[in-house]
Amino acid sequence: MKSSLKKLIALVGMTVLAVSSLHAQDSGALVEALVKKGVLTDQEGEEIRADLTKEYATTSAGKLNVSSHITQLKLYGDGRLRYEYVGQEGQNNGQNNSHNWRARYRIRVGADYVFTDNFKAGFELESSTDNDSANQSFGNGFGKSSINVGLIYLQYKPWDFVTLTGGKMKNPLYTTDLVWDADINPEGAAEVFSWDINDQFTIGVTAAQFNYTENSDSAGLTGSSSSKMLDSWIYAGQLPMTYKFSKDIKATFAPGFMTTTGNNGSTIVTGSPSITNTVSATNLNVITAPGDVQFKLFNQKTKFYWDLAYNMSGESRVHQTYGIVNQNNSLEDSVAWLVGLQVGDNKKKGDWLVGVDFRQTGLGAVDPNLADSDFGNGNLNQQGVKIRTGYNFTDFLQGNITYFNTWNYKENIATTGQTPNNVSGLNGVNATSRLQLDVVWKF
Amino acid sequence: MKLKSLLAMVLACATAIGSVHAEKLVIKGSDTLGAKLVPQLAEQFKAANPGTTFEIAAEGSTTGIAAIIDGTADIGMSSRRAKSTEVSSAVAAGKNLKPIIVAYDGIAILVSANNPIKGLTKKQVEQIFTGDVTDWSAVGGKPGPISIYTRNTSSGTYSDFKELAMKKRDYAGSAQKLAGNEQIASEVGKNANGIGYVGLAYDKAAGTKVVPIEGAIPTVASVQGKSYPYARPTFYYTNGDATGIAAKFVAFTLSPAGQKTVTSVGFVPIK
Repeated sequence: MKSSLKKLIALVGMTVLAVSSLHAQDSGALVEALVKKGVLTDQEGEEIRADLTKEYATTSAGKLNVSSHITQLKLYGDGRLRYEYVGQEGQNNGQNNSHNWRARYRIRVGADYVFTDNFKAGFELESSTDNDSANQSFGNGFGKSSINVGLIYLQYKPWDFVTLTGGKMKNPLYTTDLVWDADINPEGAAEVFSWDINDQFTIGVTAAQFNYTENSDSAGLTGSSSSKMLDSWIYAGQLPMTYKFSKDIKATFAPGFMTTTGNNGSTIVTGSPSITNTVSATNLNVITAPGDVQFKLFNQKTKFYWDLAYNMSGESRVHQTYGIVNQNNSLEDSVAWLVGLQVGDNKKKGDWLVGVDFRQTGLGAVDPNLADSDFGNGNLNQQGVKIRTGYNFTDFLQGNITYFNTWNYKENIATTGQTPNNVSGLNGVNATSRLQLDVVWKF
Repeated sequence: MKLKSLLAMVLACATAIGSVHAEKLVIKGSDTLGAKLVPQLAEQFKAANPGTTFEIAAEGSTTGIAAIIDGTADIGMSSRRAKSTEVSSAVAAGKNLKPIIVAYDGIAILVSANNPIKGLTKKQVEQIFTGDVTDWSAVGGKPGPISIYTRNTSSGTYSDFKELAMKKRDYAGSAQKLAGNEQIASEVGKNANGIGYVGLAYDKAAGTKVVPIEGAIPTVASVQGKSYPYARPTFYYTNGDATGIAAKFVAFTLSPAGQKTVTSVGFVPIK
């Protein structure tokens, strides 16, 4: 009787293993329970356990040798093929007009490790060195692209309400691409605190110290005060709060402030977009106020979202950083804002999503090295729309279409003797359009 | 050419004659089993099987399982189950790790006989060995820094204790790693602020006392009844079913005579 039962247990265990190797431990618990109840002897239990472990060892997961201090390991990645149109209308009777169709690709692979003792770490490798994009263009004589480090972070959670992160990390700030391009992984340290006041209300404090540019300390000892190459840091603070009105309705608001240290010598070289590659990290003291309201519309997940950025030093940035000394500065130059609506979701097979937003970005409002590199081709003093739609063909494969159309926010920004709109951060752009056709697969 | 053939024949004959007259059993692994129990079993077995010789190396369970995988031992002693990575290595090497429960053990928590502590909870044991608690006053003892003594990383007891008592968390960085049960008992006996763990066969060292855990101490009854929280089986590992002299030794260990020795040494018999 016991022998037959033993075979049955082994059979059940093997079947479970066949379905998923991760269930080996579950079978172990079953064996343990049967031993405790006296159905199996300890020796029979050990033999079944050994057989299960042996079967598990022949699976892919069983061949991985993961350290005992790692309690969870997640491997992830995605690939993307893109066909893209980029058009630009320049100032001066079309002198700077351009348009181009190109095929691009992106690959990202990464791993998240959860350690014992409330630690977590991760890394991601990407196919580009740009801070705000992992794209590479096809058509380079079949040349190969390099693989670069996109994320490398260590996280510690001493208590449930505190998360401390150091390294190159996912942006810990609640934000939109009006201020932070979603592909940027900032570097430095972040402290995130979050408290559930009750079942409906959550409030938090986020602080971040990002090392924006690193310059030789000895270089900072020479030269005039304005040309010393100081390190540049971004210090940001935010008070995110979320209120759940009901199961399907919740609102989030995250007022915050970010300031950038540095001087005219602290130039930023991001690589993308190349046209804004030397804008100093000066005169940026930006109040931000992003938020969203999520609800159901025709039984579809819907999100109304917004962002607002006001640079308290916007006038100085326009005059000093961009050198437009005789421009009549106005509030428009210091403010950027967007409002948008997104309907649907794109997580599982059959999901679809449609979204649209409109934004205006003043010349001195935000840092062009951080804002979305696709809207206005990364330039400032632009206003326009971003329209996107997506469909999940399978759980892992989706198609997306995104369209940007932008035009000048203010006309003829220039100082005496300059070509209109030809300063850094504008680069002579009058209007842009961009169409992206994407196929994305996740693994 | 003829000389080489002659030498080969001579060597073959010598090997055959040697194997008839002296059967050697190589046993490697756990210090918990290999320091006392297995040597005593070996002596008794030799008395009944003249001509049998033993080579016993007690350097930790990891070395015992590794010896079965690489074929350098007939029996691997282990105070823990083989890890999935070890099973994977065995499969890759064409070996089949077969566990045989030979005795039960209770991991006793030892402190100095002068320590006034009357008992600990499982949570307190976890806190002490992980370093969450560093002073005896935090667990009801006399104020003083806690000195932790553990086995080294090749020990089965080292990893078993992590699993049984520490929710698989890491040991405190201050923990001192020692080679065997006897060394731990000795150090704890000399240190009024010391704490360590040993197998049941080593819990009567001078200057030490066993601390009840949730009111239970390791005894034959509490280990067999699985009421003591840190009870565990101990194993021989063989490559598939043991054969030859190894099979005889396994059978002897499980026999009433062998299990009597298990009891006399301080372990808990399987029946």
